[in-house]
Amino acid sequence: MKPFHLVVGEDLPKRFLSAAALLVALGLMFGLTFLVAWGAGWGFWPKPLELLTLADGTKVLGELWDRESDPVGTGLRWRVKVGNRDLWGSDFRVVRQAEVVKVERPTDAWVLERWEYGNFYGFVLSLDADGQVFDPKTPGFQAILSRKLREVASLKRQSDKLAAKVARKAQASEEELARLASLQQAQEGCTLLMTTAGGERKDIPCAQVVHARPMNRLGFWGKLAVFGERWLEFITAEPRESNTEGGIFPALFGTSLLVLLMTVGVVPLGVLTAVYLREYAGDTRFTRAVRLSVTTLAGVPSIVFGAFGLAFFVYTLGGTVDKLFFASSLPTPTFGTGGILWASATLALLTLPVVVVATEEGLAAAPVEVREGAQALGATRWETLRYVVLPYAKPGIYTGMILAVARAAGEVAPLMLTGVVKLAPALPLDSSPPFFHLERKFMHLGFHIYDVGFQSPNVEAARPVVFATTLVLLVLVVLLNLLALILRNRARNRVMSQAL
Amino acid sequence: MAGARDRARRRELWAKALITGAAMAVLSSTFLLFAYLLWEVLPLLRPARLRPLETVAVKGSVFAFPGELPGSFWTLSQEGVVRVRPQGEAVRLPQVAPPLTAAIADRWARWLAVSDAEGIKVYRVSLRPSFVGQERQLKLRLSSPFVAAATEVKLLAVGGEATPLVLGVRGGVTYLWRAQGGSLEAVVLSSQEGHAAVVNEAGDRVWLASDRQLTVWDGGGGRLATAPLLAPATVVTLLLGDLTCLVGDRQGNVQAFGLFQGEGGNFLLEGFATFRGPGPVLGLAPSPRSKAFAVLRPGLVQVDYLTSGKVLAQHAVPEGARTGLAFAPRGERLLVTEESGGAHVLAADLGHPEATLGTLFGKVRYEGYRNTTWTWQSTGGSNAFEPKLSLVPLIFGSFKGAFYAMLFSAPLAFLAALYTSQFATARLRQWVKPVVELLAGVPSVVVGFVAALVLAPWLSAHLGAVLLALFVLPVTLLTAAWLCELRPRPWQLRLQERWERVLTLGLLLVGLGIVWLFAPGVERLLFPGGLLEFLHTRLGVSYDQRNALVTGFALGFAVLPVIFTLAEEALSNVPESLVNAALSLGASRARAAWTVVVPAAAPGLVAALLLGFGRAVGETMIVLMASGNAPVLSFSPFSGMRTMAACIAVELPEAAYGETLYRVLLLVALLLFAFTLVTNLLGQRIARGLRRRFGVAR
Repeated sequence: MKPFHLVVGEDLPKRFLSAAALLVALGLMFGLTFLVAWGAGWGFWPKPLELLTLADGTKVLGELWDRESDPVGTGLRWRVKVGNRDLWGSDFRVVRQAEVVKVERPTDAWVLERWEYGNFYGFVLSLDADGQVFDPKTPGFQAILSRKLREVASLKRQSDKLAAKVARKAQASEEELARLASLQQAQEGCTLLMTTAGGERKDIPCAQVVHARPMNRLGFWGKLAVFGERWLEFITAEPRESNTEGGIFPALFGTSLLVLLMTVGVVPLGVLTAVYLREYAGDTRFTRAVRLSVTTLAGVPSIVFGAFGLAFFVYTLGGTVDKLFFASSLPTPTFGTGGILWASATLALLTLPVVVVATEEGLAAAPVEVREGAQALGATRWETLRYVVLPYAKPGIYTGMILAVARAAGEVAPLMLTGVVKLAPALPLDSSPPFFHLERKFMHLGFHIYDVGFQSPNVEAARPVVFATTLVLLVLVVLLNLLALILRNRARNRVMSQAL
Repeated sequence: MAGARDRARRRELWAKALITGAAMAVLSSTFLLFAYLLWEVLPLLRPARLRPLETVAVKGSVFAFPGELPGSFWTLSQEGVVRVRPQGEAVRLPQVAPPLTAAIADRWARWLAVSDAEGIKVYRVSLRPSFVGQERQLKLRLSSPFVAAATEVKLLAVGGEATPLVLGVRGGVTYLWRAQGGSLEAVVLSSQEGHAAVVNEAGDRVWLASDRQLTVWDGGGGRLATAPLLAPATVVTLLLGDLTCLVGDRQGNVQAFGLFQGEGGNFLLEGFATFRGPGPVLGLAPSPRSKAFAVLRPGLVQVDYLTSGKVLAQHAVPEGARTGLAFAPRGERLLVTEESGGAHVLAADLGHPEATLGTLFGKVRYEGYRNTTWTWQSTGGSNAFEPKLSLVPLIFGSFKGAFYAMLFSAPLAFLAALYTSQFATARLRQWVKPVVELLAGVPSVVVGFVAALVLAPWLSAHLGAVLLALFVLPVTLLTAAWLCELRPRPWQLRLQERWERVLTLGLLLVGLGIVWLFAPGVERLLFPGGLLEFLHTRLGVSYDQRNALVTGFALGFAVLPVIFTLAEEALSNVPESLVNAALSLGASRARAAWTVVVPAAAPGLVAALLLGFGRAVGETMIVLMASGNAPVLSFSPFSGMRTMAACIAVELPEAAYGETLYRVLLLVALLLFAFTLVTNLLGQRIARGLRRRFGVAR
């Protein structure tokens, strides 16, 4: 009989392990996307208001945010967002499940989103509008309330605009001041008398209220509508409450303008360099040096670009510009401090290799026969390039541009040194001449994430905003990358089909 | 016709100039990037300089001190008149009885003690710049004196905070005068004769050097500690911050002493540095800006720096200049007085003494520390704070983060690349590579955010389960694989190749399920108090929520696409003929991959790792958010770190232009630049060599 001989595999372990590694790597990416999407979706989805009655008789009204195991005894404890920061100092309260006697969802509970102090959770006692008192139990109260709120909001918008105009001018006319006073007066007529779950009363002027919603009365479609409204507001509105609430419009705007300025700088330079490398020069020492410098730029960490941007663009170039043209306002710097111009210049340097590499690939797409054909017809080198080669290279150039934009939109570290701020008082592009204010500081999506998620005084309450901002940035960048990918694949396929 | 051709030629020339110009701009901007950083860093090497500015006549005065405005100083004459130069305002000391026999001030000239015919009088001096019309002038204010009726006193020191303390010697006995209302009460401090003394700014420590020993007393006359001296002391002073006492002696030594509190609350006086030089020490003056100090020797003024132990600069002065060594309140000028009545003013440009090769990279004993350390602590609360600029913790932090990142990403990326290039179907490959490219595009701020706000808290709650999964998942996969190939045959599980991926996914899920089910039980069984508790109490390892594990994971996630792409390329480029040869010899596909393809592509894999490592070292946002940013020197995966990149991001916006910290941070940037440049060039060189070997066209 043959001796018993156990042989363990040598083929499959490697296959399994490597397949598992690939699966894990892909799983991590989808996990990340899912996590961010889930966080953003959960944060904006309207949550029911739960009224918890505790064993000692206290009542807590709020949204259940988290639960974790109770360190004292068994069971769970909830973190409840109770809002009303002006009354209690904090937005959150931890409630042990063991203490809860009763859980209800009262249909007459309201959420007021306010301009200051976060949300108010409670019950409406009455609405006092220009001397008229409305009881919340009267039919159509909700419609009346939303109409009043809309009226007050429009008054507030007008008065804010006017106040800003008055503040800009050194001297305001009597008429404007009178109009401002009357607008402000008109807003004061409307007040909501609210009570918290514990019975504390609070007068809230309508001008303070952004939205008022009876959350527990909403059905699925109602909630979906609120969800949509919140996203719309998020994209289009200004931030409130030191960025922890409201929208991200200035950050979106700042990011877009930044990458636009950068593109204006980087695309011509990158394309011309690529043309030089592939079309104009042979394998000389100079070409090799240029090529080396492009690969070097591609490998340098972004923070080094930031340090260079600060030292060279901001302090040296900006300082010189200030001395030459803005000497009257010194020592307050104009261009000698971080701003959108310097930030985009820094990013242009950072993304240069992306454009060069993609354009080179695009230039390679022009077949030799066509070039030779052009030259045989008497076209000069420039004419061949302009009318024959560049049209072929267009997809490559677009790919490079999009990739550069995607890279720049996600880059934060260099911006932190060259002019991004958590809250910019004014957009770098507005209606006051000279319209483009390139020296201004700006907001940026990526920095918004860092700032709100890490530097904010109220990190917990800001969670929905951070997740949503992250999702917006992620979607933006991934979509851009995807676009570039598709464009490039198409171009490659075209080249291949031509080759056949 | 000729015109058209000319136009075409001109256009051609223009185009060529434009295109060449663009290439030159790229080249020069890369060069500028390096050169400009270097240009901003180089001033760190600028040596300190002492330069004679002027000599002013202070004849007939007993005391002279530089003022805050450029070129200003004040003198005290024997008649008790204070003159402020250059404007020439003269104020007589209140209640003074000339002639003065002696006058001393504390280090910053806030207290002035004079001894006249009636005894000792101590004045509070305030000399502040203020605007007189359009011009800035020094404004002098003098308090009414604290008086002690003690004549024939050799004054040693004056100082204190709200009320003055005066030290003096009379009849071979050292006295301490303390304020009691408007007068000074004497206490016998020591029966020995003191040679030199100093009182700290808070007025609660008195340092007295007698013949061969240095003694520290508290403000009430209680002795705290004593230390021996090398030679009889001539001068004593305290450095900025009052932590270090400098004692100069007749043999030319300047010894630095620190007062430490020992285990049982008793005080220890330790000498930790000695500066030697020619001739006896005649005067010592601490800089009001840094830990530098000036030493006056016969015919020579030196400026030394405590932390680095270096002589920063020296300058010759006449032999007769033997007294009155003092820094101006902004530290930019030095004053030294000649007995013949001339005061020499030297411009003192100290450069960047905090940053030397020794302090940036070596172990340094800082003031207030009992051992030498590598410490990064660039800003502190008070004026007297000494920046500690050791780059070692930052470099260490960068490498630690990158190391843990590689630990996570290298095996994963490498195996995934192996699968994609060797085993996967063409369709899968077509699909995987773009996805990984998308992964490479994920902004690092997103990864860092998720790591710090989601992963870090989750990991601290589920550390046991994660560690278990690291063990269980490979074991599950390997066991299943071995079972499938087990011989003899009847024991073997059969598997078709196309089910491989599904099966692996299933196995992964099974492994995760096992971990999910058993992790809490296993953790309870092994570590009854919880794993973190066990780590802390038994192993003494503290667990920071934002630690190297979290950072390594997130960083690894960010560099994974880089390594994957390069490794995949290296593996795919191995010629098919090599694999086919192995297969025809009877090797299985995996065996061929492992024994033929991997060794052949090894240089490419090394290059991939190198480039991934370089990327991990330079990554900023992830580390900034997930690592906690504490500059500690611990390799533990459960503690955080501060990397070079994160340090630049945090501190450079706050650093003042041209200051030492600004230049040191740019040096860090330059180091980062150089490091990534080297790894990139090396990696590319290896990869290129490999491509050439396999004859793959670029």
